[in-house]
Amino acid sequence: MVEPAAGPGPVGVQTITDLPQLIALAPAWRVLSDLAPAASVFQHPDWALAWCRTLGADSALQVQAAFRDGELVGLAPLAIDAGDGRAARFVGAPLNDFNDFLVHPQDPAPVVAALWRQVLDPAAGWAALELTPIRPDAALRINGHLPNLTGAARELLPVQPAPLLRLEDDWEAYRARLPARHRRQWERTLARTLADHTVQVQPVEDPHQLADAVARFERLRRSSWTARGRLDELVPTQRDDRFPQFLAAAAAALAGAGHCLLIELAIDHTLAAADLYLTRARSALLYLRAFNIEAAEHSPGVMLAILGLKLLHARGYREVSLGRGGEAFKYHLGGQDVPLERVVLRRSP
Amino acid sequence: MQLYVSPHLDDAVLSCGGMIARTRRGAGRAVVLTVFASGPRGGKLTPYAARYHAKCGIADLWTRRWEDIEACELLGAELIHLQFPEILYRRDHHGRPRCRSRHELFSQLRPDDTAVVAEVTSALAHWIRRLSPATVYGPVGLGEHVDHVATNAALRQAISDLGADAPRLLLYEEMPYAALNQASTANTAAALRHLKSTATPNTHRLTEEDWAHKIRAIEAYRSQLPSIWHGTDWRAELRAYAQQLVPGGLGEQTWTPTLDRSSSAGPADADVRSSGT
Repeated sequence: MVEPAAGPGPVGVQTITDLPQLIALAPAWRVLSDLAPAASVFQHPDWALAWCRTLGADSALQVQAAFRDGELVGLAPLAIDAGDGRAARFVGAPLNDFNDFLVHPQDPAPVVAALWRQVLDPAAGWAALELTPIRPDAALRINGHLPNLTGAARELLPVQPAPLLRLEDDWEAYRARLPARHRRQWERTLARTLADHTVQVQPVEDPHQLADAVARFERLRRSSWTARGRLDELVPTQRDDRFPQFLAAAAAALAGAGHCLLIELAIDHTLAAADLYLTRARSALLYLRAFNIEAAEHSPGVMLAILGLKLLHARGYREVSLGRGGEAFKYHLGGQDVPLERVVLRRSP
Repeated sequence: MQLYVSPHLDDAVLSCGGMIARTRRGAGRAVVLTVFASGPRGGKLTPYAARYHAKCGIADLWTRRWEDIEACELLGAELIHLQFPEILYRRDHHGRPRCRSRHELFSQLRPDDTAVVAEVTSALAHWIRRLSPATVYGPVGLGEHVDHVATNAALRQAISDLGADAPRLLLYEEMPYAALNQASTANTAAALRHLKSTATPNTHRLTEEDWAHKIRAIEAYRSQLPSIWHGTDWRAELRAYAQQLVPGGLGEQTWTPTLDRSSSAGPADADVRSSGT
């Protein structure tokens, strides 16, 4: 299919339905991911392919790839879950904090239009299309909106917050901006712990070390949810036996491209908490957190939140998304809401 | 495990950053313990401290603590911040400031410092017992900043009190005093003379990688560097000194206090050692 384009050349879209084809596209996909300004790590091939090889093994890929002059200029990474009413979801869902198309920054409108035409085509075969969660600045929007589809019901789900933190170049300026009550509380907690215990903040970003570190992280995370009797509050995909394998593989692969960082906090030489960040350029996203319930008296999660921000700041990160969800600590750290739109299109049977 | 005792929030990294990086490169454990890591009790500065802050652009304690946290992270070291206030912020039990002039900042210990030294001795002994380091590194006391002299005295006493259980003690030359060739000042020259007669030098060879880690960690002390180095090219000064220690390479220097145990050990300590042999 060829779409007339106002840009340098016409846009052609190819549908990819099997994994080897998608793997073959990975080098061009990486290039596109690096070029796309609004892309998140969830649209990166290392994340998506790790999902396809593990958790997504039961889904039917339906990835739309747009080419212009032989170059990959757009990607709509979708998969259809045959066991769930033929629901089309983004590859990686529901683990992705943000979903989007990947679009080349040069003359994007015809690329987005061409991708949507393919995605919404009845031949795509889905009964429901889950457009969730979508950022306000998502590349897939047309004039700022998600598309309508004639003959399809449009179900609006509640908007989700994803607090975003912007850090000043001067750490002290950020520190001064923190609500005084919370800053004093964190610094008192930190001072008390530093006076009575050894404290170590350890970043892990080497891909060879990260697979083991993420496995350790996931064990800690599960044990703390289990110890609190709240394991069933995790989304089912995170309780899937294949999830640790997915996370370790994705993290190690992303770390190889400089897109993953695990920050560990050890108190008295024992792992007390860890935060997993997914990174791009000068932006980081706090994806998952874990803490050791036996270290709860030190409030290690609170301590690591602020220690991790300091570490990210020192490494040049100036924008930190605190991830989906409106937990209080995110606002105490100065996070400002970014609303995530959630829409499901349902075709009439 | 190696324990690096730092009088202030920067001394150990400035002076031993390369050795800490080397320890970590070998997957060893390194702990940096800062003794005087607390500000004025109640937050109120003494008049001299207020003048000193204004003159030298000293940042508040939390700024410096955050910098130390960053430096230790870059080196892969664990850290401890004891809650003793620096001399600039200390008051005696009548509430009088311990330090009213620059002269009082750089001087020998006075009788009214005894209580602080005793408390620091007790805290250091506690941490040495708890961590069981193979080696403890402490400041020589070059420059005669009272907090450095107090830390040196307290550490030697703590080691002496531990008797046969004591780890090896190595004293490090503090920067910038050693690198800036401040041996011309009377205090530093006297300290060096005393050191040479009571200790033997050890040179610790470093790799370029260790050195790069040290420099990156020192860069974290951004609020401190201007007042420490007074506009000199500190990277060049440190490197020149490190090259002077290891011709064709880079190094840091420590001293083994040869007279340490015999000179400071009291009868109780002697009993412990004799009973153990």
